[in-house]
Amino acid sequence: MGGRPQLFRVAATVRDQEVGRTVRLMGFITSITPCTTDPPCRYCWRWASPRAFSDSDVLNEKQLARAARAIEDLGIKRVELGGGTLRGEEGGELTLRAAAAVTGACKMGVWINNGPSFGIQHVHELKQVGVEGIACNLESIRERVYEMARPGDSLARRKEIVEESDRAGLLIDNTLMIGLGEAWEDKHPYREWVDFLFWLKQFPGLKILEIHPFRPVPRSPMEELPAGSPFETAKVRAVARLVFRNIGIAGADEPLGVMAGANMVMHAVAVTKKERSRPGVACGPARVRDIGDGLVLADSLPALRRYVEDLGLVLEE
Amino acid sequence: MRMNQTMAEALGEALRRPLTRGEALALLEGVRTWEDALSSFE
Repeated sequence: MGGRPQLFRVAATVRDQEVGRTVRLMGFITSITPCTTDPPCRYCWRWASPRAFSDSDVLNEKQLARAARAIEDLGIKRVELGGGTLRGEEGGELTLRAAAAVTGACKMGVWINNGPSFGIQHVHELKQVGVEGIACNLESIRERVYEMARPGDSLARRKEIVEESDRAGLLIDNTLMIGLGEAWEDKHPYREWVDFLFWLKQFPGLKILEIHPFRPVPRSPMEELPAGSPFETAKVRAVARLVFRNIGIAGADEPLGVMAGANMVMHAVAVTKKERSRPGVACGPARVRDIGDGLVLADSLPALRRYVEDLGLVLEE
Repeated sequence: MRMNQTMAEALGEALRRPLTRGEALALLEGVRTWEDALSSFE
């Protein structure tokens, strides 16, 4: 570097020094809970696809076990169970049953990602059934953004779950959405993004950070707002690498993400019900195959292998 | 010039230790173009 430091190069160097050049992978199963948030978040996929996060999306315990085994057979070491926010006691019970079905069926690390579907009392029960970590994504740390974009949700409740997860000794995954709540004329809220990073820095259990750009969803009330900037997203990923050093930072399925110090890919392999839209990776496409009992598996590993090799990195196997 | 010097110092230190809140903010505010992200601040 010859005394001429550069943001992306320094971030990538710190990534290589602290966690190496292996791209870590997360599997995904969705949904474990329907979403009953009312009104729906104003940028949610529920506006584009009424089926998304409905009751018909939810896998039963037998399907969850089948999904977990299919993902584990591909060599994946950890899996996140996604779902919508189901309020009330039912949300906690359904989440616990789903978690137990998966931890009982595989040896993968199991993570829960279904918003505040459960209360802080359930966090300890999730730990008891073998859950490794919780992703109760804030996406923004500003109350004003919640009032505008997530009027049926609660920033305080999400923060409580993150705090309790750390107290319970569970690991933490969280997401910052770049551009969420920004109007065309707004300047980027750098201070808010830094506040987000440093709020999370208090938790020793933080192991995964996802920094994604806001993507306007068709037919949603926010469809005409500007998309989050890929460059600002990369800047925040690079700064996050320099703040947190050795955690997993998602976004390694995009070249700009790799340059900015990312080392992790979410949704590397995803299982859903057949009729549902499936999350994938930026360097896709996924190979989709029927795994029985009404489920399909979207396998992005072939695409990831080629892409990661082209970049001179190593895919976790 | 002053901002460039601050960012260069912050990045030099970042090879050895985590960024502070002030350094993180200075970098997000100071890196304004893709060339900034890839080139030096000298």
